[in-house]
Amino acid sequence: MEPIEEYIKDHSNDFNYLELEENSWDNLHQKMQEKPKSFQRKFLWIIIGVLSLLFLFFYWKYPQPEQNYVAIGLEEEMYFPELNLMNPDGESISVSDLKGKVVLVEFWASYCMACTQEHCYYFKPLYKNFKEEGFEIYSVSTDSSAVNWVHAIERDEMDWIHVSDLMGENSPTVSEFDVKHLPTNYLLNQEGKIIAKNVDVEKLEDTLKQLLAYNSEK
Amino acid sequence: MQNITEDIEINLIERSILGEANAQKQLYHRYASAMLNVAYRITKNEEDAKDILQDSFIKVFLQLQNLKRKEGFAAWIKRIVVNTSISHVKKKGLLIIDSTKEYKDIPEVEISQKELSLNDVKLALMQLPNGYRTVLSLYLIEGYDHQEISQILDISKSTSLTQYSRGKKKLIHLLQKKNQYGTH
Repeated sequence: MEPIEEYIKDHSNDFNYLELEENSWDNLHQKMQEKPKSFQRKFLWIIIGVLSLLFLFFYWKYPQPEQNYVAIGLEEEMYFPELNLMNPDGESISVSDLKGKVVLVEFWASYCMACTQEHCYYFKPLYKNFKEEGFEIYSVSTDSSAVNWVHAIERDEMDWIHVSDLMGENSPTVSEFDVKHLPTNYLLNQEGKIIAKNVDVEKLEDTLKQLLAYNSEK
Repeated sequence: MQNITEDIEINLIERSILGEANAQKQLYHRYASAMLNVAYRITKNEEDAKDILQDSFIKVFLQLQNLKRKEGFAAWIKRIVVNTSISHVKKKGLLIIDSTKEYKDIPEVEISQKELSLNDVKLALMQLPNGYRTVLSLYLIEGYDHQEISQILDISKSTSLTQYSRGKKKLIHLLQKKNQYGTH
């Protein structure tokens, strides 16, 4: 062992650079008594976190069966994509032309009995009452026959916007707008955002009142 | 005599486990000052050393009941302080031991005990780079061997040895420079 090593080893108790502060024990003692408290707090936060995750999970897994215009699936709050088709007279009409109105985009077909029922019992009176206040219906038919399509419009006296690409149920429009059954509808607000998919037509009147009243207040 | 102090300490430890604040305080004052300096020799930072002292003692009092051999308390607490200090400087990126880095060979030097004063050695030790200072302190002052140091620092034993011998040469070099130019 070299002299320097020996020297340091012999003096190993003397290599002190700092002195203990007088209140150092008190500080430590205080901190030790805080410790369990902060542990409990951490524990509490973990419990809150787990509970809220569970809540979110179940909320997502079991959505409310009542589907009015709130709390609908993923499409909610998205802007409705551009949709531009021709009416029976050959004029093309786009959904975005209807901005500023509350629009019900509906997919239907002349052979769909449920659609006809909805049209006659709900859409006609609603359209009559609310079209002046800024409500529009944009009905997209998935018919492939123009004759059947126009016949159904005239038979049921539906005087709102009707369009179709007349490509039947295999039309790209059907898959693009996720139409799995007829009727399917999307309710758009004045900005063109989707508020709801497949609104309950029985509650549509209340929904429209809310939306249009909000608009007129503004 | 040794036995009596050991008995007193074991008694203090047992009472500390039961949560007796007075025993904890006595146990603290037996070791705190030495442990503060263990932490300082590794961190070279007063505030860090104080924080490490506190954190270490919190660990000590929390885990005291798990200590099997109460006679090994002194070594146990020192190891806690050393480990806490090392992980602290590593976290701050201050302790990088790079054995591959080529240093210019410092010529073999010797210094006799007559030329040494405690104050100079203490100062010179603090002037060493972090890696050298840590290995030197752990070996010469804390009394660990190179096997233990390699575990503590997570380096190989041969790295510990080369760091040590380079650090030692550097230390002598610093002391000789001091003797050459120093005025006192």
